[in-house]
Amino acid sequence: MEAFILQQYDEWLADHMEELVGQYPSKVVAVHGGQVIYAGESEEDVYQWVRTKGVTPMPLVFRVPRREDLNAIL
Amino acid sequence: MPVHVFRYKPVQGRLAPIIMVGIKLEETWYPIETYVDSGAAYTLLHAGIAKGARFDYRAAHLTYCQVGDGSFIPVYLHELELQISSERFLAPVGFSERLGVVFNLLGRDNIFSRFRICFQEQNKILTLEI
Repeated sequence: MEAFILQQYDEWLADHMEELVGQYPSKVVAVHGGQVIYAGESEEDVYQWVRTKGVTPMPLVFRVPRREDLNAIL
Repeated sequence: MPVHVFRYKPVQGRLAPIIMVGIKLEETWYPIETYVDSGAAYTLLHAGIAKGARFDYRAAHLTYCQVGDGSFIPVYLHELELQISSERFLAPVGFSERLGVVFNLLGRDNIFSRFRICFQEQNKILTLEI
């Protein structure tokens, strides 16, 4: 995949991670074009939606941690 | 030598070494976030990603990895193509339904030997140099 797409997603996540944790805890979100375009319960659910909609390039599909999840790893 | 720079990601007021990686599953590239973990031997991903990509992750060698609490988790280990920035290479990647942590983990095998990785906490960046 194009390196700049990976870089865009990486930068977006750096800017919006805290916001996601506040708005979508434990959801799986699809990020595309600088915004959350879908939120579901599982990766299967979200990738299925992405395929149905024909979104390209492939969105970043990301399971948003809950605040308590973060304590376990940090 | 190219140096790839990643900003730490803020989580709960702290900063975490999370970077974006591409993974090729069934001829499609997927961007995924990974926590760079020098304590993990392999790169370990949640099985949900493989299920979502319709990748038959169970068609692989089953092994068991010991995690932080001392227990062992089942891991289906594949050799897959990864991409970090513009660098593409093969690396062992495990899928598990019992990863136990919320993030995917970018482990050492064929990653830490390929890049010089520097955790620059002071500058809030992680650099990977070839």
